[in-house]
Amino acid sequence: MNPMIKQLIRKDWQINRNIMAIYIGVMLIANVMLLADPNNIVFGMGLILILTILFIMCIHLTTSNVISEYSQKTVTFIMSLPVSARQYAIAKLAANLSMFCVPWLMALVSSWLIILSSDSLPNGLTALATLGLVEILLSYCLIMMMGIVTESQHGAIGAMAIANLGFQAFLWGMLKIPAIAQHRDSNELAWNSTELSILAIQLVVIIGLLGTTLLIQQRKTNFI
Amino acid sequence: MNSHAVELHNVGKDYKYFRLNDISLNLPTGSITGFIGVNGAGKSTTIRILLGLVHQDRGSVQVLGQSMPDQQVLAKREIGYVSEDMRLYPKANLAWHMQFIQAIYPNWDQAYAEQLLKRFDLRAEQKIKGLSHGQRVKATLLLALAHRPKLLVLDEPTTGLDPVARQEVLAALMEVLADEQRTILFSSHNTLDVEQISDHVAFIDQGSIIESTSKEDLLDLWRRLRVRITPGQSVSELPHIVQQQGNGQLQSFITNRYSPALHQTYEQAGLEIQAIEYLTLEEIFVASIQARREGKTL
Amino acid sequence: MSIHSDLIISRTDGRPMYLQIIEQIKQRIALGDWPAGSEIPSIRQLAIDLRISVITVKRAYFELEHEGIIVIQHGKGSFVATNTQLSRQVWEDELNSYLEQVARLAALLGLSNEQLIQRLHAAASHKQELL
Repeated sequence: MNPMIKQLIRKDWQINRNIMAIYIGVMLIANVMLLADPNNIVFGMGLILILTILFIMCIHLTTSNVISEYSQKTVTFIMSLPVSARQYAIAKLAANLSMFCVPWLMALVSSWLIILSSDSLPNGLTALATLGLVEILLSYCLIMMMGIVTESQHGAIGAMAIANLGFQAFLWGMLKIPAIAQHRDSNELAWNSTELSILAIQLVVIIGLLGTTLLIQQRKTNFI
Repeated sequence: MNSHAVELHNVGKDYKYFRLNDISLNLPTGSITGFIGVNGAGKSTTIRILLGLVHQDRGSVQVLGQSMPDQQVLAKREIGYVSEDMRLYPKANLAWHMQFIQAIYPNWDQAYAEQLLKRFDLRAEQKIKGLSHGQRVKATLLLALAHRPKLLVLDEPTTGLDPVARQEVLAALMEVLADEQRTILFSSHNTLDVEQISDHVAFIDQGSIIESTSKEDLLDLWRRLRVRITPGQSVSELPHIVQQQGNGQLQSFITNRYSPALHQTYEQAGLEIQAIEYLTLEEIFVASIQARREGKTL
Repeated sequence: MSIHSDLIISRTDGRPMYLQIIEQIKQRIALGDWPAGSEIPSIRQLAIDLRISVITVKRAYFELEHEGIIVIQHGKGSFVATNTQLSRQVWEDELNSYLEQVARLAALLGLSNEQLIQRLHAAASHKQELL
């Protein structure tokens, strides 16, 4: 990797290290709560906590690490360094994605472990949990893209509204698909073709969002 | 070695309410150029273009031999930039910023950085959030100076500084020029600072460069003449008069081409020249802007 | 031995900075503070010390060199010229230029030569009293 991009990613992690420690810590606690019996209220609270952390991170990482660079004018400082607009955009995407993905991966891995190790949860639930988490990741990419591209709070908030509605619709729609509903209740671990194609679509959309962000940033002619 | 650190040739940029009118500007290597204009005249736009932060619509920009904005990464390795609208990370301290910059520029000079820290009366452990405006400017300048750039670009560096901080900043800038390969461009609407330390002066107004010359030539060629004229005599025919005041027998002119020959021309035209005065850079700047806005060609 | 610059540039002095430098250097040479043949600050060094532009100091030095008061040796530095007659000549030139101005102002005020001489006498004796 280009050393300048590496420096910028490291810089973003250092600047946000306190808040990241909090996110990771709370995510750990939430994961521990999932060790409770699925019928216990603690389990439900842990689940809600995980989703809450991820939703908060969606908007907070975008405001604190993308939009604040513009509103606090640190972007002028960064762009005065030997860095191109393209490198800056790549570094910003990579930093924000990596910061989001640490707690997100924790949630993903622990959801699998909990489901597979629990007798009362059908193993088929892993597919739905994974698709739901990937959908949250997709929402984050959309919000982040809008933040980077519009450089404004309004852009990110608009994207969040869309992402929020999209996520609700996604969950509702998923349960309407018979292949997914049936798999959810079975103990079958292997994914069916419907689930695999949904995952493929999600990944294509995520890559598309990231690529579009880079493309738009590269074509900008004013950086401050 | 190129004799010009910066070469702008017919550089233009169109905004909705502002237009940079195909400007040309050269900065000789080893010199310090003062870039003067009122707010909104185009100083910052020009500076951002020469750093590649804004892409020009037309014209060519060469900075330290690199063409901008395409080669901006190479050029910016040798550029130090400080601008009034630039901020450091509020939650981090100056020491963190120094480490960050040090990791980026191989030329970083830690001893010099620490010397500047002392001279600027800054504390490395203090968070940027808690710094005053003057301290923030000095901190940013420290970061730009200590990697020993070949070109230092400063957008309004002394604006809003107290007199002590201003002199500290000007002294630090002058020391940069002890090395003859280093060049400084600084914009200001404080003409006193420019008059004091700059070798060259460029005036910008309404998106056009209206003067770009050696400061000494400028101060030499612009004079105010106090004259006595015979009643009824018209002076509008006389050459190189930028501004005229008074309408009785005693009048004063400002000329931008003063020379013994012009002095003679005026005397031969029947003017009795009573006094010849030098102008400050500020007076020259204001007079040239007014003359241009009145449609006179200088 | 090099001489530490101790010149002072005044912002309220109406004259351009290069003229102030010329005058102060001439004074130091005339008084012997900067002896003939001694090295004086380089152009860049003086500019940095005074925090004024290189081009301004360069201009002052070139004029001083033109008048034969200093010698600029490229790559070696600048020196006070060894011609010992110069210090007096400097003041003679300065006096002449003031006298020309006096004559011009006298003409402006319509003073006769006798009146002018009288005023000069008065000024000279006033100066004596002050001493």
